[in-house]
Amino acid sequence: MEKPILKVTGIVKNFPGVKALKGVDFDVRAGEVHALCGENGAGKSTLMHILSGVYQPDEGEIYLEGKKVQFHNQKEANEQGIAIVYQERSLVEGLNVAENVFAARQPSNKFSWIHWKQLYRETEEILKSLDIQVNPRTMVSSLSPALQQMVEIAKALSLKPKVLILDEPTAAITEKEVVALFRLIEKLKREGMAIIYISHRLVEIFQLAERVTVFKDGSLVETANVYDVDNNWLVNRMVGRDLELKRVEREIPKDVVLSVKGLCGGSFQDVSFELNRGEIIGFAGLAGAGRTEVMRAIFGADPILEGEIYLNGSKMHPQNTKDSIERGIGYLPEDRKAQGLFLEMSISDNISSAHMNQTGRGIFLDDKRLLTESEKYKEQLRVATPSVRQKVVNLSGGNQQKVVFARWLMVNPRIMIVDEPTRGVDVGAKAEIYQILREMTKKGTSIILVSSDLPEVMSISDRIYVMHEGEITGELSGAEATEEAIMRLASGIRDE
Amino acid sequence: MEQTIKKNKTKGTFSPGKVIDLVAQKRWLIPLTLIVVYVIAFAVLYPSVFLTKYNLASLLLEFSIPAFVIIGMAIQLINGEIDLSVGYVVMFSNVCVACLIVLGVPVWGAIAITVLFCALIGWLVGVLVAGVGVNSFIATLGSGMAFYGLGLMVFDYGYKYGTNNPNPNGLDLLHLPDSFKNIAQLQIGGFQLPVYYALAVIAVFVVLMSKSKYFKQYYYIGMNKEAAELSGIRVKRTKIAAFVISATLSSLAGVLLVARMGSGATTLGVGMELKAITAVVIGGVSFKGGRGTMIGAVFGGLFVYCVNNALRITNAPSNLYKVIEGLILLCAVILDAQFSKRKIVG
Amino acid sequence: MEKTKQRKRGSIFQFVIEKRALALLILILVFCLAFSLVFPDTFGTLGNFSGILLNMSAEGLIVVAIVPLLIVGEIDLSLGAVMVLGSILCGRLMILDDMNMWLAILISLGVSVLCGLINGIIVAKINVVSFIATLATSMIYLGIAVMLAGTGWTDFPDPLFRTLGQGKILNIQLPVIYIIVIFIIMSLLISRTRYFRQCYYIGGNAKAAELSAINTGKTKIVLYMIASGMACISGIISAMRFNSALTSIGAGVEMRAVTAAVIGGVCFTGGAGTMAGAAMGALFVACLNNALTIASISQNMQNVITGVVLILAIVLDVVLAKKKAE
Repeated sequence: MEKPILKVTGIVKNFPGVKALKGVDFDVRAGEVHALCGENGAGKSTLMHILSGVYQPDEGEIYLEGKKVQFHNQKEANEQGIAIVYQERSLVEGLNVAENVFAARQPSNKFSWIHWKQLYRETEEILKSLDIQVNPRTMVSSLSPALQQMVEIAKALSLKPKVLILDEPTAAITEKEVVALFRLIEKLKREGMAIIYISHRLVEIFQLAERVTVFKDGSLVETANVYDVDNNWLVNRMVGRDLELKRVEREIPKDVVLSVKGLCGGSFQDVSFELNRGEIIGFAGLAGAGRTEVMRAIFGADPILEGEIYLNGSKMHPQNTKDSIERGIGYLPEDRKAQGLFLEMSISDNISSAHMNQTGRGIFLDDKRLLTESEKYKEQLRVATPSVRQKVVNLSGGNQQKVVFARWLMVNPRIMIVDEPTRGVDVGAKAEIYQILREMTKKGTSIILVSSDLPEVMSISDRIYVMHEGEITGELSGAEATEEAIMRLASGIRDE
Repeated sequence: MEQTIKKNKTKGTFSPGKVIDLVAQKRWLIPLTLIVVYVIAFAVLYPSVFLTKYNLASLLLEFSIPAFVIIGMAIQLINGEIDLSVGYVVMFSNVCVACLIVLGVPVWGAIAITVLFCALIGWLVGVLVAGVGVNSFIATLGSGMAFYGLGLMVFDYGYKYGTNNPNPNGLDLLHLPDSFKNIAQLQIGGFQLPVYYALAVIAVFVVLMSKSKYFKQYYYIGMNKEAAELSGIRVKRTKIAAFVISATLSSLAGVLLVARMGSGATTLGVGMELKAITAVVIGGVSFKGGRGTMIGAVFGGLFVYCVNNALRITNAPSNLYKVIEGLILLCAVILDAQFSKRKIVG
Repeated sequence: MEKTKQRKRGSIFQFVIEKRALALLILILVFCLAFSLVFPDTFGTLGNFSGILLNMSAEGLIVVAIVPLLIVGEIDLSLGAVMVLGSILCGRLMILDDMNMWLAILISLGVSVLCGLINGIIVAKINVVSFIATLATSMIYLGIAVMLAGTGWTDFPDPLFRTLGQGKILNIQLPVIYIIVIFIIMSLLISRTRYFRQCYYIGGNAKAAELSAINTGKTKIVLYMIASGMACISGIISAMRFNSALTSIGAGVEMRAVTAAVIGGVCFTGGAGTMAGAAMGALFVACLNNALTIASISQNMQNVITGVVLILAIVLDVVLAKKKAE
């Protein structure tokens, strides 16, 4: 029972500019739940992608039941007995449950004729074992997100895997389904399945897992038996690191420029905070905590259901993004490729996208002026490119991020919200971006920093708010903020 | 425009890579080159027929009215949408204005009513697409059908109740007064008026599209709708405006068309959207949105009508024209797919 | 509690969305019944209904051809052209070159499938947007067809040819039988074979499809070839019926096919919809047009109504999708 079903040694995976996995040894045994935790970007997802065949490792080996294996794609991994349930939906809404569970693998004869009775029967069995009360003939489009998640799990189980990987399975399901899911996991354990369970919810780890492994910065920190450790141990292993960034302690006089009271939106409720002039407040939390949603609502990109926002003392209700920008609020989006950049357009066009209405005479653009202004910012931010006429798609991640920054520098808002400003950015550019932020505050701009990078939040912010599942769980001043303290609040651990 | 051409010609070495980059960057060079080639070829081969003022005037006249539709289509494609109703809007407008005039409505009133009605429907479709989220392909497919039907209905009505009783032999004649026909049939300097109208409208929109703040927004929206929204662009509003503009231009084209032809007909204008799409794509406007120039679209359109003219001069079978047009469109589109892959230095 | 209330209210809409074919069938039956009561002599006769089906027979094949492509998220605007090409080529071979009927049909089919192959390669391998790619090829194919046609071909020499188009079995016109048979075959393929079911996966979630090692490119190419093949058959059936191959058939047929499919619940962006639904959509439009013609409502109004129905169908789908997301 001690011999592992799945074992990996020395796994290395690099992406351009990022060392995602720096040599990981990991294993999971039959009949155990092995939990994985760690910050966003610590390497858990990359390892799971490798185990499920989507990525191939640059170095290292995978052993399944003692035999060395290689997966060129997910289908091969599935065939060999590894199944994964991702956070993102892989279901086809236009088909029913049974056809999604046996996606592209419906039982059929050699002419490809589907055996429907068999399909429904086998689906029925799987659903029953999961205690899901769903008719296999139901269209997926009419199921709730929670039920869809269960169908995803059924889909993975239909592969009859030896190893099941679950990535944040409880993220979108209700209490009742969580109970059912846990019962299922216990059952699978008894039947000898090896389960890798990724979760931010530390409570679940202690409920389900035999062993837990902590990842940090691309390396496996430590593996331990769950009985031997507690929350503090986990938090400590997840974040304990030497802070490379020096904190600069600042005295920020109380001068409230933005005050948010009881804000409620689609996925957050009762959010209240204040921002002083020239201050940088950090919003820490785990993925899905709702920080981006709050910021988008303040920026006018999403509707606000309840609550009040006061800008320099006067109440405001952002109607749309143009309105917010005109009032002096800027927003650097989380996903620069999808939301921030016009990839096939020039750097200059990207930089001037939010401010072009303000330059030029009357209805006409002043192309020359926009070019010179863009040049100016290009120099100032040290964007590595020969000309601002270059297409943005050619730049590295860090330089692309600088371009988006430049856009907001041109607008020069009084309040600047930056969402994951250094995600996918190399170390050098990171430091430059921090410098940009500090410079902005010197000029009187106040900054809200949303970030999952704890050292970043801690070294840049004057104060830190922590969010968990749509609510603010705590406020820490720069000095009293330790990584453990933040992580505890972010994980929803309350000091009872 | 001339200046930039000269500048490009005096640039450094002409390595094939550089030339391709240059062309990819200034896509309107392609249709322009094709036009130049055509002009030279036909000047040489058919000097007596081609180089006459009459031929040039008729070529430009052929092109002038569809130019309106092409402009509207270019805006839509750049903006990331498509408008399949324009041909039917042209058809409806032509019949509607003719019918109104024949029923006794004063000329300018008839034009105003027609254009405003089309603009209104354009607005509705815009709301459907930008506000409700209906796919523009389907929405304009549906509205096109509605316009077609309305057009036929209006024609029947005018045919029955019009004060100028039409020739009983031809079902597609509605005799229109000179005061109306003159809008399109008068000549200045050997060219009919629509050529001048088109020139004016083209000039206006080429300038607006490349130099105005408002129209630059269309590029941003077409390239990345989400990022445009987050840059403070009122995406919904701007998209709706594009539908209104497209409908208005198409409607004007319909009015001019019937003035030129002298009588309303239910066949005029049908199919113009496909020609417009062909023209625009040849001119470098991509289906992906966010790229292409108005001048390119115009050259593309001009080239399409040059080919038309060529086939008429050479008395080539009209089906050959279809094949050639299709081949050119195909090449343009494949070229577009390949160009997107290149890393182009701006 | 609130949720269950909303579910109940939404259930009628749910029905219309999910069982579109059934909902449309009920609508058609109710509609036809009502109209038959109002116009018993003209609308409510067997002759009229068989006339509706007969008229649907040629264009109905185009609907059958285009549905799988819509489901994978593509479109084919060249089907009308291929229809003409098929019929013209067949006519030319039989009349001008005095070729055996079956050989002529086979060659026409081969050429059409080749057209489909070209379409598929341009869309799936060269990655051109299917709308514009097939728009371009439609011009080419139609041009070629017209070049081959001269003035069109009439009077096919082989009497069997005419019989195949004009004959009856059990008092049902042969073309109607053809389309019903082909519809049943394609419907079964799409709904019951694993290979063709892939369309839904490709159209519904392309990324996931790729991960499941589905060869999206190859599948699309196959679908284009099948579609063109069917367009050819449609053209030949048309030639059989009217004993003539003309270049004027099939104009705008793709758009009408898309309309019928969308009304029938096929999602324009792919991943959903059934052949049966599309067939019901086509039947509905045909019945509607027929009824309106009998009621002396002009052709024109019919177009308006069809357009409005199309828009209603789409708006319904979009609004319901949004409601679902909340």
